[in-house]
Amino acid sequence: MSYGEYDAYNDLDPFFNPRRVALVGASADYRKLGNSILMNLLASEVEVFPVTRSRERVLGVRAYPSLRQLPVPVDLVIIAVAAKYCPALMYEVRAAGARHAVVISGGFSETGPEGKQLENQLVHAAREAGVRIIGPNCVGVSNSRLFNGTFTMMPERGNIALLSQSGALGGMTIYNTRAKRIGVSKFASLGNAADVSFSEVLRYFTEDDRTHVIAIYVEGVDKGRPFFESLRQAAMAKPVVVLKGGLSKAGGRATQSHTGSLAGSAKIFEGMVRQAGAVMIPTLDSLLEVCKLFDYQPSPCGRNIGIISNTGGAGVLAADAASYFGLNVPELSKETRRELRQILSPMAATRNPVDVVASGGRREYRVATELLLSDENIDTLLVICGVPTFAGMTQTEHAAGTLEGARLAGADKPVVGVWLAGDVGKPGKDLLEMNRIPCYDDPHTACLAIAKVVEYSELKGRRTM
Amino acid sequence: MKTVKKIFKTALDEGRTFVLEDEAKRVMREYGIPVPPFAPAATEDEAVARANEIGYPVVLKILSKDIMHKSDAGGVKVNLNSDEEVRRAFQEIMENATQYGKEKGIDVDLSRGVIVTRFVEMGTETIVGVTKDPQFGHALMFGLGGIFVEVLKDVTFRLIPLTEIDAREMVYEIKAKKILEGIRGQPPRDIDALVEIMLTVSKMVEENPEIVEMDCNPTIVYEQGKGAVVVDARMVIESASSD
Repeated sequence: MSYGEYDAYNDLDPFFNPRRVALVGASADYRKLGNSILMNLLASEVEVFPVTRSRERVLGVRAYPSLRQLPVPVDLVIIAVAAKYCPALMYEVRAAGARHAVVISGGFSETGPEGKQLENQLVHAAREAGVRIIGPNCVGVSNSRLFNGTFTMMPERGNIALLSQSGALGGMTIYNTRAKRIGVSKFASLGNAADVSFSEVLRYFTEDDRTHVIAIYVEGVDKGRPFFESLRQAAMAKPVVVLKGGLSKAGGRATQSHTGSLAGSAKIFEGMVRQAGAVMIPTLDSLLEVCKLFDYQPSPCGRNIGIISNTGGAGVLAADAASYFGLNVPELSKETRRELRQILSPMAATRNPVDVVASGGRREYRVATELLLSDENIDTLLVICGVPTFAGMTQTEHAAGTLEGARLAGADKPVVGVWLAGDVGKPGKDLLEMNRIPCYDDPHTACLAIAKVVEYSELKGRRTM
Repeated sequence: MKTVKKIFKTALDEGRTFVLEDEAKRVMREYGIPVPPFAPAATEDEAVARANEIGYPVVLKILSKDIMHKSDAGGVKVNLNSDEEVRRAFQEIMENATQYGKEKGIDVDLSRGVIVTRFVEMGTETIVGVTKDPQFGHALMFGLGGIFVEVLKDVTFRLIPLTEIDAREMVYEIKAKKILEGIRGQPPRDIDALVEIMLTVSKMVEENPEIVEMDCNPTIVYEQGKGAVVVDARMVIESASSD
């Protein structure tokens, strides 16, 4: 299957940009998913048509007994009724004017052979009716600028597309986007992916202008090669960050050769991701954190990072983390060091990592930030604030100094923050993030994110040489 | 590549999915992958004749469909420098193989005798391998030989076909890459020659997808400009119909 064989963007667009949405299984009972989904849809910028046999109004909105009785055609149907009703509904979806349905209902192939049979019937009916389906057994889809067709929260609005194989994990990650205020463009959980595949949605996100970064959670891949191809195409267009769950059974496969016994799918998957030009990250927590740096800051030109801190200890930890992730902490130029010596306290360290010491506030952060960003030895700047409230300082002054320094330098280099001291550091952290300087709680996470961004630029650079 | 298909057909016709070392090396030679000079020898006299043609020192290794791991069966004798040593090695290998068969309760086929190869100079041992993943299909593996691969599992994979960029990235991705770059005053290794072997193996598998597993182990890499050579090759195929 070659890329662009058909128009993935237009084919899938109604899933993410519908104007009229019908919900089969709309419910007034708060214990039902059809209730949560309806509430989410009613809070969205789309026209909503609840479908239920049991009542004429649901949550104060006019309801309809069947899809065939809707007053106007709809673009998308969301289905949350028992599995056994789903196959027959496909013809009604088409009769209601839609070619797209999200089947949230569970009870299909994930439950065993009988469910698998029902899923085959569902796919067969959908194909016959000319309907594309996402799911079944999924959390749904959402577009943070338009509508929430899931039973989880609306994600924070932003530029990261989130594609998840696992429904629950995807749903949980949405909560994290709110808590961490990391913006998502579109979200899709594919569940059993009986019809619309991972690769297809990946292609859609590749072409989606509102999406600048793609985050993927994947467990197993059925068709490896189309997945690889779509990942490669996506990574050529924008950064793709992959979190992989689960090791394949292949590792235990009896093999006669060395290579076979060393393979196991985890290592092959890792190599495949690099070959595609995407990056893999190790933990659920770092998925959004790494995407945030990709989204907020320009790409770096190399592996050299400059470190500014107001405590020696945090600078040392950052230098250790940088070295762990294969980043360099180079010498600053003579000129930079000379200027730093003139301006900073005599107790300050003017070598990389620069320690402005605890008495260093807004002015020192401004000057150090500007000087390091202007230094040609530095590709990325890591600014750490370990002591935000030393002797009468305001909580945001280090952040304000950093922002001013970055503006003065006007360099096209990424700036990353690490603000320690928990809630005491939070106002400074918020100020930085509002200005799209990603800020982390730990130098290790910050260096991981920097290393992944560097890795992506290197992979991309080598491929476009 | 008729020769290659014929070699695979012979193996399958004999009920083998395991390609013997001389066959595997003929396949590689067809593709221009450097292997040391070699020749099969069914008898002691033939072994001596082949050794003289190839030139001393030589290595003798058992050629039998019943023995995949040759050293385990005492089926390898290295650094042989005279006709006398070759004769003795041939006899010992046959005795060891018979003994190995008895222990394992199998009747080891000794009719093919041995493969005689040139005993090559030492260099940096690496491994280039192929596996077929159930989801992603054929993938190529690269790592340094010996403990790096056995204990540390310091290996990396790419899907076949590889580009030259992929192959170079693999070389620089392993933790032990410094050994190839040259440590302790040693000159850097011939990475271009290594990359060439990786790319040729990739092409070979692309054109012969019936190869399901393969080890070029060791693939010895010499210092820059002096090349690389596949010293031992192990190959497993499947019948084309099963794909």
